[in-house]
Amino acid sequence: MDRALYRRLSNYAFVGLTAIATLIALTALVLILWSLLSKGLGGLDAKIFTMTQPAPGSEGGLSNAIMGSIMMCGMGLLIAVVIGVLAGTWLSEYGGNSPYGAAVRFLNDVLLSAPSILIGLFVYEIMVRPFQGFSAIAGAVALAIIAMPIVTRTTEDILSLQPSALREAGMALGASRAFVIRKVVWKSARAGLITGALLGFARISGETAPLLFTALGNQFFSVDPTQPMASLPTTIFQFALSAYEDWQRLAWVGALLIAVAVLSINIIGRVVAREARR
Amino acid sequence: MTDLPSHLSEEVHLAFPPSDRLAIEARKLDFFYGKTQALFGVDLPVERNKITALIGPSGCGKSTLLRALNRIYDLYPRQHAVGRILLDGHDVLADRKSLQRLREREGAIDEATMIRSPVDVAGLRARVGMVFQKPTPFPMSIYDNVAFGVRLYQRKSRAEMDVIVEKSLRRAALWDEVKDKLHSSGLGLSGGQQQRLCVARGIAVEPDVLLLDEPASALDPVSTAKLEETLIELREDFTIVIVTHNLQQAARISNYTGFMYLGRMMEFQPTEELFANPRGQRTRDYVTGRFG
Repeated sequence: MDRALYRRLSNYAFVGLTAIATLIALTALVLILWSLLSKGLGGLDAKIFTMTQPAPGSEGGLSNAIMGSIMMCGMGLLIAVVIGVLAGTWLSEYGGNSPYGAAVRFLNDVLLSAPSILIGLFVYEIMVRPFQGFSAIAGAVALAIIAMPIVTRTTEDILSLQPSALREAGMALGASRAFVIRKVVWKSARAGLITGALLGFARISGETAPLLFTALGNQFFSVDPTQPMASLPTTIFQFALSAYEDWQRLAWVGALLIAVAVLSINIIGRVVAREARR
Repeated sequence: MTDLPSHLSEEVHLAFPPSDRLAIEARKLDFFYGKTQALFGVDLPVERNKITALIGPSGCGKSTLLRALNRIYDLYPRQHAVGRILLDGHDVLADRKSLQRLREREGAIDEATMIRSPVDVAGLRARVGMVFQKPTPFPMSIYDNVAFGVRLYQRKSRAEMDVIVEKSLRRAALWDEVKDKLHSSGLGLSGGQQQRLCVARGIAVEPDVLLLDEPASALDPVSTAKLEETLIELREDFTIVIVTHNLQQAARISNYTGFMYLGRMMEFQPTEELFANPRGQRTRDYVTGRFG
């Protein structure tokens, strides 16, 4: 066969394969979104946000689960951002080249891919059993441990991208290293840091396994962090497996809410990143 | 210390300014990147209120020498300097570790001339400003950029700070272009303006010495000309050391020129002298464009 023709054909074949693969991935996403919308949208009304979860057969909403998710994800993210940003800063600015730094980075990567159910069990062992009770705090800690390596990793990556001349310029004015990091480097990397936090938030907002062992779930509305607390993923887990049709419908609505939240957080993250590049 | 290859040692020609007029001075300075030696016993006397230019082919050590003068290399744990750097007679390389390295090199050092006071590196850097090859405005307003260094060391009222910011921007020949947008981001300025902003930021703290590392290499000819004018005016108040690849630039603005090669100071002369009548063969070849 003519070489040029062969090259052209093999090129077409390759482009075709990549297109098909993309199509498969996209189809899955569209199908998921479609089933969420078709089954969840119908049940979405004001009661979802105002009423707590019902007994089977009676009216109700998901307000306890929504509140619980917001509180535990919020607390978890706060912990994860404080520790993750500091750890990432240390890796990028101070100890990243030492053997200890390499070990920290490796362990962080391990933690990044650790199964979330293990993290749930770990927090169960260190917080739930000793204090003899499930609590929202334990749930938040479990979520924090999941988000922390993400924030650490993105922080290190983003800070490493900042030009060293920026640090030198700050120090050349007589500022201390810590001062330059806080006032110049962090500021310059602001958008990336926010994106990292949002990625962490998107990741933990759908986590179920770690919450089953820690926050347990709660059929009543509660904002007491020392008590068990409901959350969207655990409620979905409970309702979707139940035999009651109205509970199953609520589970679909909850799933839709999580999907919408994750989607919008991702979009916000991208917009922030793009704005900062200008 | 490695000796200079013998065919080069005949080419070293140093005509230094009188030692009582120096603002900063490097003496027998060695510099190491890890185990790699980049400077070999370099002397650099910098006369007060003059512009001293450093020229030489890439990799000859001119930027390294500049970065040693304010110890900015301290940021990188594997880099170190051995020798003396005198700022107003104070040895800025007199910290314990550096002195120990000096002792190792010299066998014994003249303890009488040693300054034992601890070296305040941050304070040193406040007295020796630096401008980099690429403009490095901070991600904050033009005003805050200029005020950044001043705020580190002094508490100023708003009015006092306004005066300092305006004065610095005027001296850097940037005031007229930015006076109406002092509170917009420094990142929004053009490359040439950003570089002059960095000059303004550097001089706002009233340093004794201003170090410039190829400050015009990322600028267009018009911006370069503006920057050069600025530097010539700044000579009145500051002592300037500039590293440049642009020989015409060195000839235009500097009073002294040092030609470096392979980590050595090969020739140091008043600028006119060096360009009109280079003593060493290497220097002659370089300034006439035959190598480098």
